[in-house]
Amino acid sequence: MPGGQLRINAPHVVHETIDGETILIHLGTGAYYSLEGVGAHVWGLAVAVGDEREIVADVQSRYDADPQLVAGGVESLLRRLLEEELLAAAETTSDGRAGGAPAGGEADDAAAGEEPPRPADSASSASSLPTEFVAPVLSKYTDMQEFMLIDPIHDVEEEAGWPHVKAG
Amino acid sequence: MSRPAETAAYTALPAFFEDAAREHAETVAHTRERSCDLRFADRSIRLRFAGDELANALLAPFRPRLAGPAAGDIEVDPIAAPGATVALWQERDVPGGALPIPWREGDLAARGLLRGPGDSDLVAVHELGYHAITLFDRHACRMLHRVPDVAALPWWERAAPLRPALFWALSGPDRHLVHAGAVGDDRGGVLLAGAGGSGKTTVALAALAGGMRYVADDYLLLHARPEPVAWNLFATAKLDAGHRERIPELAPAASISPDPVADEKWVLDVAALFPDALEPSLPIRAIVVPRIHGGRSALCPASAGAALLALAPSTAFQMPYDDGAVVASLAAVARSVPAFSLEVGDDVQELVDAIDRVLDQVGAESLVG
Repeated sequence: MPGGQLRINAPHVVHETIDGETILIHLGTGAYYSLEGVGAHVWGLAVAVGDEREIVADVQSRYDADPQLVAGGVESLLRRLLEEELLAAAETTSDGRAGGAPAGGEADDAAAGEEPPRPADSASSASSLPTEFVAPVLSKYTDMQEFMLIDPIHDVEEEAGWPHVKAG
Repeated sequence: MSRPAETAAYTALPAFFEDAAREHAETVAHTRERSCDLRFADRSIRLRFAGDELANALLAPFRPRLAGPAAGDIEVDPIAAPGATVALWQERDVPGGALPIPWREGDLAARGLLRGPGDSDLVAVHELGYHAITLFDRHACRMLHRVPDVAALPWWERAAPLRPALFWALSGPDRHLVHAGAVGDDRGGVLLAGAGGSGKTTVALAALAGGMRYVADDYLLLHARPEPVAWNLFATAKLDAGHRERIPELAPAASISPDPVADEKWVLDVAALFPDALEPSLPIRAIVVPRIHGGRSALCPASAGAALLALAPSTAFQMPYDDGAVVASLAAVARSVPAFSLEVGDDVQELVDAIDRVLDQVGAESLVG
């Protein structure tokens, strides 16, 4: 995935970042997630920039730490976000820019070659970054998945239609 | 839109809506119409029941919200121009039998929402468990609600009825039906946030028994801006065996079906038993995130993110009718008031004291601020 373009898996995913904590809800699976510190910052960058190289470079620039270590931690988180279908790979245009809907609606600016504005999310999360690099962790919660269940299958009474159970 | 692509059943919805509306009219002609208006904040809803039986079963939790001078009685002055109307009837009363439903299980997404485009004027919910259907015409703000048989209404529907209809009638920018409780006093209220079983009802009942005011134990209408305000929807609270044991003074006043189903709860008529405590609304001064713990109760500050984590998923998944739009409003509330976590211990008075301390603390902070 190095250098891949990313976008939020909208409209299935809703997200909010408050005081350096990000809450992510996948409306399609019933799972929800939280990110703190570097993880919340990475999410903010994914929302606004959508380019994996830029995300990695941003985090590397903020820490006096082994760049490979930082890159490994960030890339690992981005893979998890893709696996959980919170992010999706964006289609790219011929110049390599995201042609879908990267992140915070900045696709047009990016396609025009303008510098994308620093997102509010990532700016605010940067202010609450830990001083030492800590590999970001995606916390996952599945206790709400019961709400995704549908009724069990049963026979249909043809005259009355579903969901009337066939007598006898 | 989080709902997957529409199915063929969705394309049948417009015709089914019109047929169902005719079915309601025929049922009214066969029985009689009983209308009443409910008022929540600055919104009103007109309920048009076919016959008395369903009205009698569903109206009790709304008694304080009935509009007009005779609130509490059945016949009230109608509001001139209700914001939404709901036609309600039971299949059992339909002359010649009820229309079959034009969808199947595979057409439904979570919580019985009919799969279809998110920006459509028509939506439908097939409530799982007892097969009530609610159809909503967004453009006309008109709803149809059909239940199979009032005798088969589940206990939770009698305690907190018509949630999909209320969701659509009352929701809007910065206002949402939310899965949360709220209690307080003259200083304002606290929003009780958390999933089922977290202790919202325990804290709400403790506050009620301790002389505080009560808005809700698990569902309310929340205005997020300009300042958060929680509005009462239902004049009920739901008690499990643990609540009855922990707060025994409430137990005799709560009722349960003669032949209760598994996990059925006792329903407390708060309006009848604590008429002075049932509050139409409270301004929200703090968010409290309870967690059943046992032993001694403990209160400590919590992050806004923790408050949002307790509030947003349970609301978004229990009422997935707005594609998660509620989450932004809940985040706005979490940003605007302080949050606390409350380990819910065994002593009821400690819980009342904890809410009291929260309201004292946020009151003092607002004076300083």
